[in-house]
Parts: sequence; structure tokens; C-alpha cells
Amino acid sequence: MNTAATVAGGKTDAGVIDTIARKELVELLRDSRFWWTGGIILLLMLIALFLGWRQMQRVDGEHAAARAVTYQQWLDQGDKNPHQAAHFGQYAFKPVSPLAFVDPGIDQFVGSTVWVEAHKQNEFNFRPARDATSLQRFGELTMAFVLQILAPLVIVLLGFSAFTGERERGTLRQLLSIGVKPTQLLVGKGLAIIAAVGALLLPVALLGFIALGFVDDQHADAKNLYLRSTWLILGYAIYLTGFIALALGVSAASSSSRKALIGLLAFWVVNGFIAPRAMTDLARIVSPTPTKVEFQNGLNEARKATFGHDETHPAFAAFRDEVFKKYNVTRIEDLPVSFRGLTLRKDDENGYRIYDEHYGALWAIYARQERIRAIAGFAFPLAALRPFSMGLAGTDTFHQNRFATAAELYRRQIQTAMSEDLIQHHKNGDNNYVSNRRLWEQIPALEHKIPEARTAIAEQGLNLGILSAWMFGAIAFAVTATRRLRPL
Amino acid sequence: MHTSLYLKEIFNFERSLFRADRLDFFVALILVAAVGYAFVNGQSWINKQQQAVHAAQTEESVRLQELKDKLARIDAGGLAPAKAFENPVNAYWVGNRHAASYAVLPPTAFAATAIGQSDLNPPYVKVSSDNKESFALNEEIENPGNLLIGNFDLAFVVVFLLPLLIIALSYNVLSAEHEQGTLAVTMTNPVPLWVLIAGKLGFRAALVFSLTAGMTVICLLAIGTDLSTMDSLVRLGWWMLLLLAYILFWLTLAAAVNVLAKSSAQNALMLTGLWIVILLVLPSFISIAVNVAYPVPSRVAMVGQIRAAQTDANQESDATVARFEQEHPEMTAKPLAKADDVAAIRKRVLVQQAAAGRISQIMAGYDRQLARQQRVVDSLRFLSPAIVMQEALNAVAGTDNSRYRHLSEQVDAFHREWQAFFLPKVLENTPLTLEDYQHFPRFVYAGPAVSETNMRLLGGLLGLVVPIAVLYLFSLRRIRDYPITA
Repeated sequence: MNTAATVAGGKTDAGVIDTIARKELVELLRDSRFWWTGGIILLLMLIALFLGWRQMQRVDGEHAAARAVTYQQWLDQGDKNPHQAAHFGQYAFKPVSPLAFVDPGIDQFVGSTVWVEAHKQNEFNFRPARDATSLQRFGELTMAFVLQILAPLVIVLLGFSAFTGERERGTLRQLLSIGVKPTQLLVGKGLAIIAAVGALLLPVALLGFIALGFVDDQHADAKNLYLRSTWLILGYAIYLTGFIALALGVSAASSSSRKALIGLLAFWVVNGFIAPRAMTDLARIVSPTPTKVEFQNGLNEARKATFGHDETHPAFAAFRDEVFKKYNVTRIEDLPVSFRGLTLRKDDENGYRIYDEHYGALWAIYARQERIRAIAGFAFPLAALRPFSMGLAGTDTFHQNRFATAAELYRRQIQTAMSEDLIQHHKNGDNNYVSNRRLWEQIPALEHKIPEARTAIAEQGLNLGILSAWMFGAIAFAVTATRRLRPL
Repeated sequence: MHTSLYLKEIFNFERSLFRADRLDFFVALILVAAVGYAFVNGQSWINKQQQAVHAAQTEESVRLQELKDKLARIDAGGLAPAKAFENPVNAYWVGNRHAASYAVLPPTAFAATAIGQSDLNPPYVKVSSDNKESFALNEEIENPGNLLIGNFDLAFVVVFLLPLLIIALSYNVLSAEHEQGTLAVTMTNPVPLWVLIAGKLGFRAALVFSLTAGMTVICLLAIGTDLSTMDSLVRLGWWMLLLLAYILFWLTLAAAVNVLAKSSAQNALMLTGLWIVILLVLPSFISIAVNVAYPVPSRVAMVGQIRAAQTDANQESDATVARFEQEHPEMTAKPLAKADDVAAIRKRVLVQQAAAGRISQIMAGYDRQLARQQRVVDSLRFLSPAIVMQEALNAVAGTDNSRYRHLSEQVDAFHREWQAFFLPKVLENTPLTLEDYQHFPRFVYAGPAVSETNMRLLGGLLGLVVPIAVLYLFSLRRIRDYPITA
């Protein structure tokens, strides 16, 4: 360190950087452009937080009310055959992640409810975006949008003329002539921008943290949320630091401020708007989503192997023989347990495997599409940051599928309980057997907690890696470009 | 010299400048690549949708043929179905399940130009004699992450990317001349400044418009669009008008910024800032503000209400059946199958009909709320020309919400027709014959009246023309104060 410490006006390495950073920061703070853009960004973030919070509270309230209604309807369905009750079923409503006010992710584009009924694993219905106007497609004003799209632009504006400006004013030659090393300039300027952007963003992050204290902890405990938020902040810090390095690097490598600005804006457009769409197209080509008809046909074909209520089905006869053999009887009437209950349980178990397989395959396609999209993150970091942000906020496809799995397990819990009741209590040949509220009450209301923070972090590890690789790449580029800095 | 001659002169001069910088080549390269790629993408989306429609229709015709074959065998005495559910003469199960028919929305000739809302609304609805809520809101399968990001279609190129290209070409249209000192020299000619700027911007308009429009027509022909029908000519006409207006809007905006006499760098920043406001901030702000002020009615609550209506109808089922039997004593006889089955199915239909009234009321209430929100957005869209343009391009492509509402109205009508065909037969317990199978209702989509689309698009065009006029007048006023020399 000491050997590298260059004397510039008698100062150490750290001293030089400190001086540069202070000077740059003062200059930034005196620049009306910073106050304008910073003020607008701050205002937008506050609006986004406020509106996001309102929106989240409203949707969460609606879902909580609907959950209570569907469960009450289940309890109040009256005396009936348990299998009829299974057909009546319940609706499962997707819980709103408490961090959705920061990044609502796919919430608008995914069905909010699923009918939990006998025999079938249904798909989620009612995507809010379908009911929304086409405005939705322009995106929503959220914290995530401000941080992913607008904040990098502010950085570009603050950094594009960092070196080219010095050169155009002739001050770069002076600086280098008094022994300031280009990398010292880079670090000093970088620290100044980090301080300025940090001063803008950290208070908002703090506000977000405070808001978390008011979140109803129905779906996640406080520790989970604070951990997730901390990682979120880390992810955005990496993204924005990378942008700062990139802006400085491009400024160092460019021959004029104009070229630096155009280059950076072009990158910003590709990163924010073109790459995500192009990668989505690529993902669709490489790993096409099946159409609903294809998916349903596949399921229907597979389900032909199961007998359902069809007593002429060969599998039905085979199962009957198997049961007879097990209980050593030759007629249904002689069975000590309900044959109807046994067939329902058996049929359900056959169905579970089919549904696991088909939904598993569908979700694997989604996951592959996400991975393909994320590859672009090595060059265009939004491709890695967006999924990271949604993942940590609990609003991505992974979390949606976790809930879908929970709803399906709940369905199976109902099916099993209803069939077991038949097996235990229904007398063969009795067509009037009914159960009552006591059985319905044995099924607790569906509660879902969002997965622990570490699950989400593990799931997003690759994206975090890509994002970090991009940031280090950007820093390396900035260092290389600065070392080759031409004073004239 | 006459103004038009000056304009021609400036035009030619700009062309030479662009040639010298090879700028015309780069602009052409970007536009050809972007438009071409967007078309490939749009067309592959249409293909996928059409494949889905085709698969659905094949599935339906196979299903129907199986039923007919089965019925023919029964008529010939070769088959006796075990259960009412499997019997092709049973009007209840045939109308409710086995013969359920797809109502298909055909794509317009311009569908590939704007994917719009077509990735959220499936182009086919499987209509049965069951109540509306069982099918009307079904959705296509898609990775929500894909839906969130959106599509690279021609509308995206035009609405998002074209303005950036225009900004890049014209942010310094006056300021550069001013900064290089060439403006003073140019102005020694007896040419008014507004003619100079009009000529320069006019050249850019001509370049961008002719390349985009030309490439669009080439691509439309390449994907096999029939441009000879009246419908596609009208759409093409609107598309061209809108494109021209949108290009002119961004160019007049560039002019308005240029006449403020700031530096080129400041112009670039200001125009980029305006792009962000018009394309990102305003739409997303309006979107979320509308959602908070006029929330989309919660489908989640609707689910519970529909279910309550069904439960009520079920609980009153005995009374409903009793009333029916009292009113239609003639229908209690002539059982088609086992008397138990007949009674059970009749009860189902009566309960269903009792619930239908309430459910359609609930759903209509939601539709009214949605329509109110749509009206609010319809008027707020004029705040941002980008929203106006996106909505208008979706309307030209037939992928806007209004077309899906139109489909849904027609599906409702078809559903009523379908129920009117099957349900009386169920209640009367009349068996279906092969003759009946020939007369099952079929859905044929009738597009909205041209005048309706035209009115919508005219509104959109005005939403672009008015800002153009305002910017034009503003520029014309401010240009008088433009300092020719530094």
C-alpha cells in the first residue's frame, strides 16, 4: 500500500481519493441537475411507496375477506355425502406478499384464486391484468420500477461526463500532471456518486424498513421480512454500483461527453426495454409454453388410465378384485369397510401422480424460461436483478408455485379426509349416508406462509452470482478504461 | 425564392449530410432490423394462437363425430349405453359437456402488428349449457414472467423505440448549427428560420416514415396479409395515419425543445426526460392512480358471491322443482331413462337456472365497474401520446380490450342460443336425434361495426394531432426570439 502511495501534494493514496471524492460531491451537490433529477426520483419513490402500500393493503384485505367467506361457506354447506362435500370444495386465495409494496412482480399477471375441488387440480383464475386496462402493460409505478429503470438513468446523467468533461475543460491534463493517478480519480468520482445516490436512496430504504414494522405478519414473520429486505437492498446496491462503474468507465473510454452519453443511454434502453423482451422471445422459442388445449388434452389422456366414477373401467375391475382378495370376500356387501370410500381414495392417489407429473413439467418449462432470460444478465444486469428482486419480495413464479403446491396439498388433505370418513363410516349399499359440520370442521382453514428468506436466497443464488459478475465486470472495465485514459 | 423551393433545397442538403455521415444507412439498418424482428415475433405469436384454436376445433369435431357415431350405432340397435352420462341422446350431458362448442375470435389482418391484450385474453371460449361463470373467465396458460415483460411487437417498436431514434436524429437540429456557427452563415440566405427547421425535421419525418411504413408493408405482404380487402385497406390507412402523426408529434416536440435555444447536451437531456415522462412515468402513474382511485372490482369477492348464489339456489332446490312440476304437469311423465336420473338432471337444470339470474347480475355488476374504470382511462390516456398511440395500434390490430368485450357480448348471445337449444329438451326429457345434431348452434364472430372502430381511432388520432398543433404553435412563437448568433 505504502509503496503504491503516490505523493500528490504530499498526500497518501487514501488522502488523494478522499480529496477527489469530497470535491466531486460538493460539485454534484452544487449542480442543479442533481437536485432536479434527485428531487423527482425521491418524489416518485415516495408516491410509489405510498400507492404500492395502499394497493397491497387493499388486495390483502380483499383476499383475507374472501378467505373467510369461502371457509365459512365450507362449514355451512350443510349435511351431505362427504364426497359431495369434496366436490363443493373451497377456493384458495393467493396471499399477498408483505413486500409486494416494494416489488409487486408478477402479481398482476397471475391468477389470484384456484378452486380446490374433488378429482381435479385446477389452474389459477382471474389475472388482475386481464381486468385492467392496457395501461397495465406500460408497467406500474413501483419502488422496483424506480430503482430498476430510473435510478440507473440518474447515475448515467451524473457520471457520463466524469472524465470527458474534465478533458473537454482541460482540467484532466492538469490533474494528471500533478501526479494524480487515473484510478484515484476513478475511485474518488465513484465514491462521490455512491454518496450522492446513497443519500437519495437510503432514507427511502429506511422508510421501507419502518413500514415493514406495520406489516401484518400473517403471511411471514418479521425476521423473514427483514432478512429479505436486507438482501433486496444488497441486490440493488450491486446493480447501482455496477451502473456507476459502467458510467465512469464509458466516460473514461469515450472521446467526447456526447458519445459517452449516447453510448450509456443506448445501454440503458437495451438493458431496460429491449433485452428483456428479446430474451423472453428467445425463452419462448427454446422452451415453448404449451397452450391450454395441449395441456388439458395431455391431462385428459393421462387421466383415462384412472377410473373416476366409471365402474366399467378395466382398472376399476382390477382394483375391485384386489380389494376382494385383500379382505378375502367375493361381494362388495361383505366388505367390512366402504368400497366407495376405497375407490375414491385409490382414484385420487392415481390422479395425484398424474397432476404432479403434468404440473411439474409445466413449471419446469417456466423455470427453464426464467433461466434463459437470466443469462442476459451477464451483459444487461436487469435480466438478473428483476428476478432477484421479485424472488426476494416473494412475488415471482417460484413463490406462486409454492402457493399452488400448498393449495394442492390442502385439496389432497380434504380429499383424504372425506374418503377416510366414507371408508370408516359409510355402510356399503347405503345411498343416503351423510356427514355433517363436525367433519367439515376437521379441515382447518388454509393458511399459507411465504417461504423463509433463505429459501428465496438459495433460489436466487444464481441470479445474484450473475449480477455480481456483471458488477465486477463493469468495475474491471472502468479500471482498464481509466488506466488507458488519454489526457487530451 | 419561393418557400417550397427552399424546403426542397434544405431537403436535398440534409440528404447529402445524412449520406456523408452514413446516417441514412444506420437509420435504415435499425428500422429494418427492428420492424422485421417485430413482425417475425408477432407472426409467430399469431401462429401459436392459431394452432391452439385449430387444436381446440379439432378436439371439438372429433368429440362431436364420436357422439354421432355412437348415436348411429344406438339407432341401429347395436349399442345400449349404460349410463345417462354416456348417452348421446341425453340433452343435458351433451349440451353441458360432450358437445360444448368453441366460440372463436378470428385474428384481424393486422393482428401481428400489435399483440396488445391478446396474450391475456384467449381467442377461444368453450361454451356449454352450464352457467356463464363456468367458462367465461377461463384463461390461457402462460408463464406470468413472460406476460409481465411484454412483447417485442411492431407496436413496441413504434411506440417505444421510434421516438428514441427520432430524438437521436433531431435533438440538435438547430442547436448544433448554432454551436458550430453554421446557423449564422445559413441565415444570410433569405430563408426564414422556421423554413429551415421545418425542412430539416421534414426530411427526418420523410426518412423515418418512409422506411417504417415501407418495411411494414413489405412485412405484411411477406406474412401473407391480403391487403386487397376493404377491411385491411382501412386498417392500413389508419395505421399509416397514426404512424405519421406519432412521428410528427416527436419531431414537433424536438422542434419545441430546440427553439428554447439551449445547448445540444441540454436538449438531449430534456428530450430523454420527456420520453421517460411520456412513456414510463405518466402511464405507470395513471395506471396505479386509477387502480387506487377506481379499483378494479375484486374478482376474488365475486367468487364468494357467485358461490353464495349457487348455494342459495341449491337450498331452494326442492321448492324450485315442486314449482316446476306444478307448472308443467305434462313434463313429469315420459321418462327417457331411469326415473331417478331424469329427476336428478331436471333438478340440476332448475337449480342452475335459478342461480343463473343472480350470477349474471353479479357478473354484470362487475362488468359495469370495469367499464367505468375503462372510461376513466379512456379520457386520461390523452395525457400521454404514447398511451393514445398504443391503444390506437391495438385497436387497428384488433387486440384491444374493446374487441374482447365485443367478443364476450357475442359469446353471451351464443350461450343463450345454446341453452335455448338444449335446456328445454332436458326439461321436456326429449331425446336428441341425429337430425338435432345437424342443427346444434354454431358460433360465427361478427366484427364490430367499422364506424365504431373508426370513431375510436379518430379519437386516438386527435389525441396526437392536438399536441402536435400545440407544439407547432409554441415553436412558431418562440422561434422569433431565437438568437441566430452566439
